[in-house]
Amino acid sequence: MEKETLVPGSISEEELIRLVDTYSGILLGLCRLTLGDTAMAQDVVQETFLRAWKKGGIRQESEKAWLIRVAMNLCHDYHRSRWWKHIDHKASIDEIQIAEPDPADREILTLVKDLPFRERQIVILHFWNRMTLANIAQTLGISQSTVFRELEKAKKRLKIELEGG
Amino acid sequence: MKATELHKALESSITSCQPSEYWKSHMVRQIVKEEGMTKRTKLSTGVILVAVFMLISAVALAVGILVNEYYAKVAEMDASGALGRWNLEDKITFVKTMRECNFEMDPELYQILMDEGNTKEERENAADRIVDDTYGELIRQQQGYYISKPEDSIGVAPDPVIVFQERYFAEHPEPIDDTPEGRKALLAYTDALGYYLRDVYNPLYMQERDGQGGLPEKTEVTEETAIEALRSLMTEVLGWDPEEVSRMTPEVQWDAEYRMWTVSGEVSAASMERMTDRRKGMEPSLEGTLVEKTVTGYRATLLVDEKGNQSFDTLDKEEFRNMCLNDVTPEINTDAQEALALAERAIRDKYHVTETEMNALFCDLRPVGTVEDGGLLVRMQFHTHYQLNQEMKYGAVINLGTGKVEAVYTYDSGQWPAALQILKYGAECEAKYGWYIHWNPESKAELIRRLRETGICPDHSFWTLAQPDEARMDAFIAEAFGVPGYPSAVNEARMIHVLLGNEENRDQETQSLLQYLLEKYHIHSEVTAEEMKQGGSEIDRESAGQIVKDAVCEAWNMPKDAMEKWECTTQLVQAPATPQHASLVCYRVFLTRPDSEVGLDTFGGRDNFNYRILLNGTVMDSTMVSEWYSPAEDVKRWSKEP
Repeated sequence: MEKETLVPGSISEEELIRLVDTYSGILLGLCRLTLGDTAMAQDVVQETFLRAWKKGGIRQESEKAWLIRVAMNLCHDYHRSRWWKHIDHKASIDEIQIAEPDPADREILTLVKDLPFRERQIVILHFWNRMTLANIAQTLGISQSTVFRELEKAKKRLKIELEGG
Repeated sequence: MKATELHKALESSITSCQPSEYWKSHMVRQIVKEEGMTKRTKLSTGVILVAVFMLISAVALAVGILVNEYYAKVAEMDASGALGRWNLEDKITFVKTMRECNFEMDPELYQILMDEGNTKEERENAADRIVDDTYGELIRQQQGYYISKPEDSIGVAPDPVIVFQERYFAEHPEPIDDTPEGRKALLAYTDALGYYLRDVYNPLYMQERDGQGGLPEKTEVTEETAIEALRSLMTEVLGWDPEEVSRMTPEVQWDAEYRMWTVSGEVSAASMERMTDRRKGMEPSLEGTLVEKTVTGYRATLLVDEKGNQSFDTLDKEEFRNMCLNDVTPEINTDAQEALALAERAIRDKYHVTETEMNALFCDLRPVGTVEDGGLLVRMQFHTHYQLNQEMKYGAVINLGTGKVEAVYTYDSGQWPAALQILKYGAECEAKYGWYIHWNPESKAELIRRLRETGICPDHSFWTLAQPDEARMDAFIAEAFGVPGYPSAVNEARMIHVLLGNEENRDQETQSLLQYLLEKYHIHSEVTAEEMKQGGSEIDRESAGQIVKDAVCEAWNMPKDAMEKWECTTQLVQAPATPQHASLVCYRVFLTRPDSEVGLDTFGGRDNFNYRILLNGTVMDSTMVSEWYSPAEDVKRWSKEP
């Protein structure tokens, strides 16, 4: 992954609104799928944009990658929390509309959601965001060999037919 | 499954979320204002901070010897200062202990840590990452922020409570939420934490709880202590260079008249030049207050009295001395552990409690005042759960000046004196219904039965003749509690005043149990009784009218002067007869809307108000005639009507 270049100084409110408008949906969906919890996902997305704001700006061509990377790391942080298990996951969220997936997709998504957390993260980044193993390793702060190992395990569980890379 | 199918499913799921415009704009507003985010997590880590002073001797916590060993090791490391020092050796010891206790950890990191061929930095980083993987998130949560980058490992040792918490939740995954099971799980967690802190970690210090301070320290200020206080003022308050301060030669004088030290020291101007800008920048504001500028440098002067109170020399010595003398320092010759032993022995002797039963209880201690000889009194409460006030069992009051056990008592109300049992009943009813006048007839009758049974109040032949009506019960109670004719003035505070007398005449046991009742039922003070007494003088007609107008305006949320022009008619009336007092005297107040306002919106559809008011100024409610309502009740009543 390219190392992003940060624009010095604080980003404008208009720029923040543009980022939120463009990426909040994708990030929310990504975090929700990763964490399996909408309320948590909202927290993560908020925190992600807060960091973008505090960072003072991101170069436009790498902003999506940067936001995904931060969000994924935050998901990991949340998941590591032992409090995770002691949180009311039934919190109702009416600020989001979620389209119902078609039956075939739902079956696949159920399998993905059943994966261990780390494998799930890697599968999402690899198969959805088309990230290379090196990029995933850098994003998640783990070694490439670990990414390879986890991905292979996930593929076996999901019975992926094509080479995943 | 094909990779393309997987991609499509993931894509459809990820793009299916459409956050509302409101949520997005709210988020932007929050970020721009830098107000931080509102977390949706339902449980605060604050629950782990309910720690109280644990006093009782050790008893094994039956949660598995391996875990216990781990806790003990962490406690031992903390006691030796390892968790504060946290160097490579400490980290290795800690990680090894984790491994021995079957914690999962990255084998690569462990290998890096244990390989002596690696650099110190590499090994420390590996240890930090291992510890971070297990405890990082909890530590960050406790510190109130998140760090997402894995490379930003925390680099600090986990607090022993965090160690306990993490392991406990790994072994007890039951959710903690606002359900009976959740609350039970929370109670079990806090109890286990309490036993750990008490029996394994065993901190020998007093922690503050709910604003209650610990035991005052016994201080004996010497010349050295006074100098040390000055040095700490210079370094910690003034921010002067510790090296320069340590080289300073202090001047100390003992003032026998005022019984205090005057200690001062000078730092050269040259040394001040070497200090940072921040320190130099403090000079103008400090000069003339704490610091005096001399020909050669800067001089700070501090007053320290014999008890350790400090002030700066700008404060007048006499004023300072008076201030210190008013701050009474109680006498303490018995420490907390000795007090615990005394309390335990007294409880076991009086109530025949076994050692095992005693050890299973938690104990907390709080100062409750001083006695004439200057000794500090502490109340020790023994309860079955770590969370305070949960199932209290026994209590004791110890005089730390003399080491005397002033009182030993049980919280089992069945063993209390009759007066306290009645007060407990009164407190329960007040918590349920409010002041006496609002109780239901059965509760009132029960109070009268208890009073007659115990002989606390003189009986009357009236009660044996017929089933008393409510009016007569009210009159009897008003008479019994010293406010004849004013049943509305009877409350728990008044009952306490009558049944137990003045506070200075009560013994420690009574006072302790009473305090327990007041706290348990959220009855705030006895001042109310005194206020009632003070405010018992009769009001005149004009005041009666104004009080009712104010009450109506307040109840209906109207401006205070809204009823200024209303006509007010007042009658002094007598209510039905009672055994001892033939009448209940009160005012009837009629408020009528003036002709000039007829036609405007009315309040509740009524054009006049009609209330009774006691001679002490209390606006009455439906005490004797069912159709009488207070202004506040009127609001509720009319708001239900279409």
